[in-house]
Amino acid sequence: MIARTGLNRIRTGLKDFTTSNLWKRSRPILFSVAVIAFAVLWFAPILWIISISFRPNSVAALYPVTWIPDPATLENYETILLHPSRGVNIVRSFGISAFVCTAVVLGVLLVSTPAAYAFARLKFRGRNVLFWLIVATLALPVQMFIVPVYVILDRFELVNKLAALILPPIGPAFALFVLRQFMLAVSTETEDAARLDGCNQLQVLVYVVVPQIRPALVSVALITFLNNWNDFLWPLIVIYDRDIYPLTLALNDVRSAYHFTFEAGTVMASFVVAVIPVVVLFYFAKNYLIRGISLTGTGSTM
Amino acid sequence: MVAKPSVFWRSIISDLKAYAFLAPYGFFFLVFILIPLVYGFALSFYSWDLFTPPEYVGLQNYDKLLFDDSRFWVATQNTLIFVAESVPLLIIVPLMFALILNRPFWGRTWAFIAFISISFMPSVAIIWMWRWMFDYHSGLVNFYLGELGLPLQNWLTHPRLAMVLVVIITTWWTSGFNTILFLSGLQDIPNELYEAAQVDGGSRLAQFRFITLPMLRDKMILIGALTVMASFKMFDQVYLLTAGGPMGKTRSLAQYLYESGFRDFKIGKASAISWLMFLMIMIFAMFRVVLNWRSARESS
Repeated sequence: MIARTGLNRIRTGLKDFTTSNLWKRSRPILFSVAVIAFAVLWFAPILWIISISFRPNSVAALYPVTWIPDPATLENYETILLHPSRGVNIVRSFGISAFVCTAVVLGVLLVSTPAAYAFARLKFRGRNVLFWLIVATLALPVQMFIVPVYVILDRFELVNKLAALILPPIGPAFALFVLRQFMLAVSTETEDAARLDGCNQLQVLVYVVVPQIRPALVSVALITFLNNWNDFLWPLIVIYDRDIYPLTLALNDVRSAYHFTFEAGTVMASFVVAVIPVVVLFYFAKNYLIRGISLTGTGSTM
Repeated sequence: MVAKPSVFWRSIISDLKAYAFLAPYGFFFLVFILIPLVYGFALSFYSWDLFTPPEYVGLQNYDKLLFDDSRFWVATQNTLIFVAESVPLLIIVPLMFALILNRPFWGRTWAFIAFISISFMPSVAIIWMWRWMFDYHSGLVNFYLGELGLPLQNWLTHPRLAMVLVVIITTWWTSGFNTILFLSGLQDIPNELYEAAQVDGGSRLAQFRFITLPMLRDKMILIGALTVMASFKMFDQVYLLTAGGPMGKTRSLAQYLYESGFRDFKIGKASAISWLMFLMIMIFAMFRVVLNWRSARESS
């Protein structure tokens, strides 16, 4: 009986507390603190490699972990960016990746936009069959394509050339699908008006449709860019020559060219060079990325 | 009478115009998607090393893989273990993140970046970083195990732990991606449902159980299917972390395909593996169709 009243008192006490002003006011703060703490913990490995990259190699890989590098130095970035050696040239590979990914993005947008327009607006024989045939191939794993595409590129002597990195990623229907969905969501009134004013289909596409779906174009461009920037398997297969290594292959080389324990600072500096652009891009473009991904459920272009 | 052919010709011309819009993409689709599919299927019936002329061997590639290749079956088993272990984690963790990020709170943007940006980072950097953390001699994890007086683990050469490590890294690396999908699912749930529940005095847990979960059901099936497919073709993690070892206990099907095709130059065998992978994925796709059909029947 006494225990019961005690329990009831605790219960009412708790209820008083959870309805009190103090709790109501502090709850969001506690929630924020807990989530931020967890987020920092989740992100800690990245913070850790950033910290290591600013330490001299002699003290880079020492435990226990310290977060603020002391002494701090930029020599690792100097080594990796200004004095390429042992066959690894991060700056050149960075440039190659930037060039390849830009070319892929331009190619994808140039061929996919008119095709998406045709599927969204024009009427022609075989439209639905063709569309579903193309979209169905999106569900196939990349492994279905790597062997035959390699053989085809080999036939045309394109293996170990940058074209081998630029051309095949234009094939998958990811961009076509996203752009068509966006076009279907845009009203056709302005397009009809433009047609009445004597625009042909191409002019309608370029001057009326493209400006209206600009957010979708940005989404597609970003996702395509990041996917190719990060791709490892395909360059591993088609590029042998270190002179044209994209960034992912160069990073893999860093690992074998520099000693992981005794030159940890240098290795981590090269990783940071690869990771930071992604974080910055993500910070500025996250809404575009999210829109593109949530529409298709896939960020995969290969 | 004159109008009829002109209507006919006009429809032909409008068809041709549409095909002109399709043609540039059509070229890339043909050369890099459709022809490779057919060509890859044909190649799977040949024995070919890229240098000598290909030789037609019928079903021999499939026959060998299925009945006389323990490595293929170990790789299949490893892939299935990886799928079975990673997919639940890649549903639960992202769902948790999405539930957190779906609420307004101070610092939301930063939490968002911390949880999600990681999955857009290059695999090479991420995986080498983890590999170093789990290194036997110089790794951070063994250092702290030692500090705590626990036995050091040889993570990368332990047949069971190596796969656990691959699963942990994959979860950490790719959770952000599914979080985006769950967030878009959560935002599609009408707010009125929660308001009504609050009026009726439903607790947060009850709201989650009776509103959020049922409303997310279709999305969850979709995300589950996409994650199964993504986990099925896992390559970077094992290639970079363990190279398939120890004793082939982490070698995935995708890696076996890569090794057969581009290290041993057995083009026919690699093509056959890709089609067997396709068949296995199709079996999973069937599950999804059945689940979709069931949920459609229940809701109607």
